[in-house]
Amino acid sequence: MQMACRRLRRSVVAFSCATFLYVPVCAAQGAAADDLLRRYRALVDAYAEHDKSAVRELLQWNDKQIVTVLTRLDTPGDPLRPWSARRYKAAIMLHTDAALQLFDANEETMQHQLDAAVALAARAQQNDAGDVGEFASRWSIAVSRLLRDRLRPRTAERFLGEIRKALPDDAGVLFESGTLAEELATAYAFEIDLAMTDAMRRRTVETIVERVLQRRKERLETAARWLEEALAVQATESARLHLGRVRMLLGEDAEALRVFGNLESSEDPGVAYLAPLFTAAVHERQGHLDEAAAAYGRAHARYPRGHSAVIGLSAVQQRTGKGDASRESLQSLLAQPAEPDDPWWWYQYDPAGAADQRVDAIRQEARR
Amino acid sequence: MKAAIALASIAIATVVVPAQKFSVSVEGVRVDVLVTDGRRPVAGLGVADFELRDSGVLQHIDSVALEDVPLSVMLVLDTSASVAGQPLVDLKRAASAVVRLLAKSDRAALMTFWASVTLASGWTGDRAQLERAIAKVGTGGFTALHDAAYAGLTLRDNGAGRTLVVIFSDGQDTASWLPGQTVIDIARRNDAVVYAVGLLPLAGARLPGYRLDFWSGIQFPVPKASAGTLMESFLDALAEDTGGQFINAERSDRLRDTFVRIVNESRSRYLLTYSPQGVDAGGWHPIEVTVKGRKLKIKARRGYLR
Repeated sequence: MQMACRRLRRSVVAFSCATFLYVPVCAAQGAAADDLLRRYRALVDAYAEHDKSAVRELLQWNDKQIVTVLTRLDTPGDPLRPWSARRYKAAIMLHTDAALQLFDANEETMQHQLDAAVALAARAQQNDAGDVGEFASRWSIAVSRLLRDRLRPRTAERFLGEIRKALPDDAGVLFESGTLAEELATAYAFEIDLAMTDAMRRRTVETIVERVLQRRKERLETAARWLEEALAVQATESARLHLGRVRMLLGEDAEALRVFGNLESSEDPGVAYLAPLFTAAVHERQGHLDEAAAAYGRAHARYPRGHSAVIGLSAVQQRTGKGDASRESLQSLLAQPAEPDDPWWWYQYDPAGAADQRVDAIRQEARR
Repeated sequence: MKAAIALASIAIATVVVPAQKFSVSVEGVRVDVLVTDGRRPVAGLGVADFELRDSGVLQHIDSVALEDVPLSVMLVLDTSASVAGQPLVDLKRAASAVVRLLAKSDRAALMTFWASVTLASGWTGDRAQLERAIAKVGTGGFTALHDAAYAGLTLRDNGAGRTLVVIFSDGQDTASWLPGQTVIDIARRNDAVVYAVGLLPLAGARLPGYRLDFWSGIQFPVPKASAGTLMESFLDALAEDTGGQFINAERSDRLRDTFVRIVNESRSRYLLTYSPQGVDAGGWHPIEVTVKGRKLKIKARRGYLR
């Protein structure tokens, strides 16, 4: 029996933190697990009541203890069953705050805490625990945005991979996954990974370039897949705009132009600006500079404070020999008295502090 | 493309028909050249000392000027959030040092950027105005390096002198609309010399690939570019293509000395003027400059684009 318990313990600890399937345990372990569960619930309740020591105390727990608790929580073997939606939300945020405490200290342990939070979201879904699913959707997007804001896109990618298992048809999570893949294909195109390191070790620049291009294409195709799935669940202009841009980056210009054309009349000023801006990019790449200039002009008309449309127009004017017009366009922009603003700046990133605010709002909700 | 010439320094004397060869002198081209022996600039050279080839064709050099050419310095300074604190203080000191080095006939302008680009001071020889503009500089959020470099080159001084564009940045572009390749193309239509100053740790976090940058998605086909060229970083490529240099100051307290060195070095540069003969009127014109009979290091723009 003791031997069987040890074997079981090893298998539970080695188990992926992301899934935490219910595993029956022997009686001796059951009593200890119940005690842990009670302590855990007390921690969650303390956290919900704004007790600052709760996160600190959770960080003292080892992985094995957390796995033991999450394996039994709200299952037929849990004497504290059922867990309310309020408790689930507090528990999810408790682990999230524990993860945030570990941000710069221990990436692996931070991921374990996030895995624990995802497991709680999954368990809540299994048990139909009130509105936790809707909360988990907003929570996961907030966490992803924070990770992206802190330049941890790969951690965000891994995290979203886990949350998609718990919330497979969530439009927000799918959209977030798509825009992250788009960001990885563009802003992180030159991120060094193992394959790149190998190419560099062999000192073949051609191999590095090929690797960059191949990986970018794969990421764009991934982005297109998630955005299409998001649109299938909920058709939003933002998802269409991002999918159009991904099509553009994949070289599917006709489809991209069709999407952008449909979005130019959007009532959302950001979308109505970015659609002709991206249209201009397609025309520029095709060498159709007059069409590009016209599209930049339309973007500028829809969002006069936007920098990118004017800078794009000025560059096209210069390339078509209209040097004076190019300088005038630029000078008019730089002379603008209004505070500069441009939806392009916020296309992939939130404004400074927005990611923290988003997480803070979720935190407040979890502690209501 | 007809009249696709934006070189502000080129005085067009007559209409040039594209695809024809220059058979008579119709346009003057200026090439800013630094000649060094080891690390020491070489002075005292004249027209007879230089050889210049445009697209492989030996050209007659009309004039060589060294000291009497007014200098126009465009300072393009990254004031994104990462520069806040001591780096900004040191950066302002460096900019002020440049202003103090201006001679009577010299001019300067100040451009700052984070996500947005601001012309803090237009072209002026008024040192007090420039100092006031430097004093007001604050910091913002993202980094629109490409857009700022483009604006600095486009708003170059149209006066008779030589233009030096000093671009300072401590990081990667995170907000520009223009891809690096567009800025490189614009630089090739412009005779300003770009010196780029970085503030990066020695290990170098600079990412490669100005031709491959995917930020805004306006990628140009570059069929004949070698893989090595595709991997060049933006500031390196921009400086090299214009005959300038990328200098990593590494620490902000070295910015002042770096800026002073750049201005002093630019005063040691020769300005060669020639009228292209026997070469195609349009397209990319590679330039090769040598000093006859001497093994000296020459730094000049790689060519020009029309």
